Amino acid sequence: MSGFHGFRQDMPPPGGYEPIKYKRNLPVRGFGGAVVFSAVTAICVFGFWRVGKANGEKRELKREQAWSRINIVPLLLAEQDRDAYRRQQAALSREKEIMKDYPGWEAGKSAYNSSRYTPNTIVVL
Amino acid sequence: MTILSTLYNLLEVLIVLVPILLAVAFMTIIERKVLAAMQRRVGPNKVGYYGVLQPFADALKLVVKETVVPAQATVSLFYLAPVITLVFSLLGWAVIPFGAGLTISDFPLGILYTLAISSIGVYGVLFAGWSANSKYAFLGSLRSTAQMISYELVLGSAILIVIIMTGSFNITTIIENQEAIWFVVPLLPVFIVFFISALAETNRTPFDLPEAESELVAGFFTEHSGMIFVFFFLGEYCSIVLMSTLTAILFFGGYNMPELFINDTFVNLQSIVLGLKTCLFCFLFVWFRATLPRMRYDGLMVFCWTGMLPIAIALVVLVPSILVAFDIIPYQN
Repeated sequence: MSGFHGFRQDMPPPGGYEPIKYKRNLPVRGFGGAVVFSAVTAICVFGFWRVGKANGEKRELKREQAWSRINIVPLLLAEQDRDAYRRQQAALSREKEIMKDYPGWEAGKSAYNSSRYTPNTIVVL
Repeated sequence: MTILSTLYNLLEVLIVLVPILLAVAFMTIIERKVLAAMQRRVGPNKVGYYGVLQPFADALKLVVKETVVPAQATVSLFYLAPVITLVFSLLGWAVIPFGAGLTISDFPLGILYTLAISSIGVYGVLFAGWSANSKYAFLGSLRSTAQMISYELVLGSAILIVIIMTGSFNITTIIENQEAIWFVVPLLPVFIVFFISALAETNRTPFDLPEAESELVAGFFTEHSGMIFVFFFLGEYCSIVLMSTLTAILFFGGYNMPELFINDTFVNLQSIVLGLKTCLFCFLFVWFRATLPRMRYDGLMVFCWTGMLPIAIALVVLVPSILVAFDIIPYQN
């Protein structure tokens, strides 16, 4: 029991304990953040470059098709007129054939009481 | 004539559906074998050669088992929930093209349809958890629903970027637009975001909280057994295969192959190419399960709402900006 009077409190070392080392010591593996970021950016830039080229080509094809359609508009109109005329003549001859027993019937006579030209708004099928 | 065409349509659907169900069955054996290989085990190897017939043995076992329904359960919803899950994950296949023109419906809004159908699938989870009248199932379904709804936003944003890149909702058009380059190259960050949210959407590791075996017994289908459990199981694996196919279609050119192979053979190489790409992503799903530990629930939600979603929205702004800035919009007249 001698130690009771010569008592010495167990104290931290002067200046306190050093901070607890809780950081894990793991080896650095793989590429750094900057490398990964620039690599991904490079891949994306390449991808968008290819996408841009492809879309440019697609738009060029679309433009070409639009202009080729515009350029053959006169031909398409002429074909349409020829077709409409053929159909009109056929309808006229059909009408003549059907109404041949009806005296006083004029096939192809205008329904309007006027000599003004009216373009056909319907295509006879 | 109408009866004949109806039968013909039915046949068409069956031609897609039966191989899909077979693929889903084999997905389960792939998962078990790959996991086993990664953990240096043999895995199932008794039924058939190398255990390839194991899924059929499992299915047979589950079919002949007794279905136990809890006494306080809402029986109609209890039975309806697995059916909803399975049917809506199978319906997603209606717009998937397996080759040029090889699709049940070449729907102009195909990708939107897929999103809508996968959203309805959440109801199966919700009904299952609520109707069983069990706290485990209920907690599992709450978690699962919150998770699926949250990650759907991210998934939708990633898909939106692909839609912006192509200017079309049609899946065939999206595939055709990748003839120049697969979208995984220009949209690499979007692909990563998409795949992570696909993992969460299908309740797979590291986001498999709904069925956290160590905490919640089995999540929302704790009380389901026998045949209706098979439905849940099939529905889940079906949505895994569907998500893998969607990843292949949206980012890896779908059925298109590199010009290395020329498709002039009698065999339809396009379907095989799509199948191979799908297998790759199915393998990735399993690989993730073998590698990653489960996330904690708050971490999952924080990761979605403060991590993934801002990135996804930033990408939604960035990609069209690039298209406009460099004048490479595909659909400008």
